[in-house]
Amino acid sequence: MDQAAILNVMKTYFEKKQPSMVSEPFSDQPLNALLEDSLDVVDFLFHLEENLEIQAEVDIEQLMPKLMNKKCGDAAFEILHFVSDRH
Amino acid sequence: MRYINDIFTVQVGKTWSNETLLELYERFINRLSVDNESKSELQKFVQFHLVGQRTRNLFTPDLALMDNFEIRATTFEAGVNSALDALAAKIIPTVKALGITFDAIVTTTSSGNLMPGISYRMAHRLGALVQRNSVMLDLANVGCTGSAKALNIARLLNSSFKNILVLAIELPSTLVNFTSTRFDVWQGNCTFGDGAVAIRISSDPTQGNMALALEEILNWQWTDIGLNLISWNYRDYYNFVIADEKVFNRHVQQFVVDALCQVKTAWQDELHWAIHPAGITLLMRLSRKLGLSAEVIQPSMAHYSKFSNMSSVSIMHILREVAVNTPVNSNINLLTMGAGFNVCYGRIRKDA
Repeated sequence: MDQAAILNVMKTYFEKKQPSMVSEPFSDQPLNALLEDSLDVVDFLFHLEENLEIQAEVDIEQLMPKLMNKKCGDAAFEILHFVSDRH
Repeated sequence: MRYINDIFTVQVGKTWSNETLLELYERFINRLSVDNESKSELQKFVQFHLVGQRTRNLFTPDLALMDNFEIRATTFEAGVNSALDALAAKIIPTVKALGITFDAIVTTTSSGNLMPGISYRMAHRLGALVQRNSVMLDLANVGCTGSAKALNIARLLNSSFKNILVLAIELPSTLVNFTSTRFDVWQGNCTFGDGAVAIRISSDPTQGNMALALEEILNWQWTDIGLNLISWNYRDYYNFVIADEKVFNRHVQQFVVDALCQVKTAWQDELHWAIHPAGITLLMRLSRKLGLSAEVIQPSMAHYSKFSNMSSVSIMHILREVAVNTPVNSNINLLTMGAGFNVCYGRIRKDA
């Protein structure tokens, strides 16, 4: 797994969930702008858990604040670090 | 059998959006005596907890004033009195029209302490509608399960009690803390809202707007491993603190699953639930673990989005909403959890 693969998992989620909000280059889009509500945040987290095959439940309080104010590309990099520690 | 005949809800204080609260909280975080990196981490944590359009009602007109014991305690008292005035204005016409008097008042709050207690203050407002020899009982420090406990006490009182009033009033805004660098304290600042509710209970299913039969209310405690999951910490007042978030979420989910495994009735297939909105993540994780559909947790989600977590008050507001949309002769499941650690499950049948 690498940053590009995680970015792809993220993009797949948002293209399905809110296609009109996704623009190119996706990696430059602010993640905050795509996660409009706390419900969206948790749903996004579940998508990551399922599609990145993370074995244990992700501690949302630990991961999500790290992603605040980040572009999707940088967020993917943070997620990569987070996931690597758990595999 | 005892029945809920009325649920009276009131709005306490003014509505605050996530956006307004975030602006205020960021100002206070900037004033903390910690390095910039710690401030930035705390700011991101608070931004995460205040993402989206969620609102809550706060009695306190200016949260920044909440900086000493006297102001916090007197604001709590003023908030309770204001909520009691609003509830009494709804209760009095109903009770007068029915020609009944209360023989017990059971109250719960965990966000402050008052003497005389809240039951007495309500009796003072209701005057002759409360019997001279009535039972007055104020529960304290029960936390989010307080209203379910109060409901259970009302359910278990012997048949000589004809009309019982249950109250839950919570003003967590009086606990707000801008001076801490603890993440859980700021989580508390972001999570809660103020609110109040009164529930009229009798043994007569024909007496009022609804008849919700209190079939059973079950409690489980995990004081052996869950005592410190939610607790008070102190400075000039009480602080809401929780154990490590990961440990907290794991334990709480397991406690709830273990509790429901012991319920003999077939709750799995039922559609009508009032679940305490502890937080979105916990709600969604719990619903997945219990195999409940998104539709089932929707009333709790909608409540959380509008009012946030009003501790013991929330579940009764949700019950009122759920009851409206539940067909007669159907069941409503109550599920709440809180300090102790405690899980309460209730089964209610809508008879009318």
